[in-house]
Amino acid sequence: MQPISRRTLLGGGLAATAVAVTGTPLLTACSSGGADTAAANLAVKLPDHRPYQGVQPDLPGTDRVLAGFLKYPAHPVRAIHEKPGDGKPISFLTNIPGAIPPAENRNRFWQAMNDRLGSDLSISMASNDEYPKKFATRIAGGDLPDVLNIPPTTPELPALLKAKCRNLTEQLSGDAVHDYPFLANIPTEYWKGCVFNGGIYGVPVPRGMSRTSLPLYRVDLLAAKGIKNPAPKNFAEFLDLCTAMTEPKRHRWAWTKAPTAYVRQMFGMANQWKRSGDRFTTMYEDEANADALEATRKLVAAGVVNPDAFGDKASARKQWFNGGIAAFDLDSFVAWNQYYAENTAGDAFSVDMLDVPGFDGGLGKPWMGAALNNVTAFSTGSKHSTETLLKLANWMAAPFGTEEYLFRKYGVAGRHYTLHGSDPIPTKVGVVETGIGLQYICDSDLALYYAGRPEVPQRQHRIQQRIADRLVYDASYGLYSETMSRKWTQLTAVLLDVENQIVQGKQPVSAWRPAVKTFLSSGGTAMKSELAKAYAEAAKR
Amino acid sequence: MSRRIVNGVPAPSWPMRVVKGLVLAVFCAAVVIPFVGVIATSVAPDRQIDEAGGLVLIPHSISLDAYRSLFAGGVVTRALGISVLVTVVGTLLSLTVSGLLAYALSRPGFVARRPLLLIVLFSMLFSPGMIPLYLVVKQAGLLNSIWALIVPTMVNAFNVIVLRAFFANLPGEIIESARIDGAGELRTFTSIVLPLSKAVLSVIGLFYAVGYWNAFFSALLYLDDSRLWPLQLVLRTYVINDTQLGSGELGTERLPPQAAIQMAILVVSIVPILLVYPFLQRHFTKGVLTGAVKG
Repeated sequence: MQPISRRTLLGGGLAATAVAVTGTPLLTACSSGGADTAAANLAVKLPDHRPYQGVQPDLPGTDRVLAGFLKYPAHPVRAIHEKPGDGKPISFLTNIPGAIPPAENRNRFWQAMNDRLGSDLSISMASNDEYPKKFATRIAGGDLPDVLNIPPTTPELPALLKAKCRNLTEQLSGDAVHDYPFLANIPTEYWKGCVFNGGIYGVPVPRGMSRTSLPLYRVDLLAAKGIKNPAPKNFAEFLDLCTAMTEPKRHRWAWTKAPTAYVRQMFGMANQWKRSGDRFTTMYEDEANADALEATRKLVAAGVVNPDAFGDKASARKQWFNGGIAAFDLDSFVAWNQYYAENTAGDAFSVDMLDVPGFDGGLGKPWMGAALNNVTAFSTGSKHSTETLLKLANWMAAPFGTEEYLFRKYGVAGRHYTLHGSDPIPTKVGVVETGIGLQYICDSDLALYYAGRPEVPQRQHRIQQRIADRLVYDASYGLYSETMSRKWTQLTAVLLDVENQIVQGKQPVSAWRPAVKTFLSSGGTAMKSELAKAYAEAAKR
Repeated sequence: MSRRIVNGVPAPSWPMRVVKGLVLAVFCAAVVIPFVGVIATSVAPDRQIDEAGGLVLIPHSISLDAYRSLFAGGVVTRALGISVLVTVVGTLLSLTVSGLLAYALSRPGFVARRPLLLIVLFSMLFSPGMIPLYLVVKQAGLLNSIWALIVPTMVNAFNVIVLRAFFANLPGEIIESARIDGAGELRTFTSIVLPLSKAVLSVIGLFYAVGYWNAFFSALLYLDDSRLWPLQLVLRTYVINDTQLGSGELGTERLPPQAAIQMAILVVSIVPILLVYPFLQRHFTKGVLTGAVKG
């Protein structure tokens, strides 16, 4: 161990000293060699996609449209017969989206799952907002579990994966993935987000289409105003529709929040990043922003947005939509189901989704949801074999219709759900006990389904088919930019603030251009050149 | 007409009294209405909460669903127990260690007084930061143990300084007379100094107790086992992070609205402090004065 001199200590080298003292690398240990190489990544043969044929959906899926089921199969297929675990405990670090579930000793779902896995799963959890802090501290402390949920926005991700996690290329590349049939059932597109440092460093938790967000609307509230199957053909008709759903005197507004993203889609703007040739530009640089912000400002000025929209949190929005205070909310297919689960309006409650028109007519361009929720990686220090951990991920990826999926999502019949026909209806105990974050170890593509309400998947499937060909993808997906990994969240938060000021009329639309200039000079330009470089390297191959 | 004289001062005119009354009523309302809103929303029926957009002042009927949901899984009950345990044990240990340290630092004849005092002051000026602290806790073997919630915050330099100032200002004659009667340091401390310092110990105890009761971040970092999580971490998950009770996407039996759950857990976390506070409130003033005039 190196001695620590007074000068070293007082010279601002405290962090380095901590490493010297403890022998434990901090985050800085991961930062060397932070640049990912696109060419090496492109050389990786991605896992083959071999769709599982054991369950046939009622509403067939495509590479974009999710498969739909009108009811749960009456006889779910038992797809995996061997326990994936090796008998030793497996630790997992994750965020959880819901309430804190009862601990393992009081959680019958958790106990039953351990029994099925053949290994006790020890889960260290934190809520969504606090997970990045917990994750960073655990990484810096060199205190890694066997399985890690890594958010795609993690700074210096390639270096972190290289330093701390296993390269899974040998086990997953090409047809090697066939040993894990439910990992092979995950479309190849999702694996692109797991390739770093010229290797496959994790398994994906796919989202994509299920996270595509468009205006959800209350069919019942619109019907009460005599509006059926709303389909505005341009912004003007959309504004009329919103105005018709607004009655401030009755404490009723059309929107839960300013639909800026939706208006941008009317203008056909990019989904985060656009590539033209080898040049990358952000959605923020688009000249059409001025018109889009002006149009949104017009909506806010017309009073169709709940006046508390800029201060309140997501749960307030959901409450307004559920309580009929607002008729529209910009959210995803996942939120669509959540609204049904939480509604208090009874059987009349009904939701559908609007398509995007062009601003002056024609068709708008909806944005495809982010491909991944997270990448799940396996620690190099784990005592388990890579095969065991991949078997675990494979078990977690068993798709809708299998017996494994039924257990994983709904738990044990009688305690965690009751059967109505073949449809499992979760109980309150079920909702709380099953929320232990298993979906972040690995997951299958979401299936369109809502127990007891077949019209829900039908509507969802219909809108997905309608928008599928027009979906705009984020051109940066699968490319790595060091600056983006460090600064994107922080810089876009500043832009969002300016955007909110503009649409509320607190700043003129002309304030947007200087804000974008600042964004570019603070890191945006570096992101552009890094993405272009990554793309050029990839293109050379 | 001459005004009535009260304590040698003319009583305010009735319009002035009305104005003062109104101002006071507005201030009271500003303080009381949020509390009423919290309690009323926690017991309001689901439909009313949704229709009101989240906050209810007068519930149409009383529903205890939110409280039932909270206590159903045992998570909140257990967290409440952990918080009480950490607060009681932590406060007792903090008082013991801080008291002993402060007494040592207050004695003029103590050889290591000055370097020790500098170390205490140093910790006031420079905090170690999250990651070094995590490493120390890890290497001390405290991870995933309830002691991780107590030991790292057991001694607070500011509280030690306040205690030291108080001890240093005790009349030297009393301590001398104890010595003459044959008392050693420990005996003098326990039989003479502590009984004379009840007020300051109450204040410092309260400072420590509130600190332990409100702490959540150390639990987030150091505890993987959710069985050991204190109430504030659970509370934060529900309220600050805007977490839904269940994932909900699968469809389920009706759950109480998020606002009701949030308000119910606020009530649960406020009650213990409300129960204790009236008995200790007067000491807060003394504590502020102690810190203000003696340095």
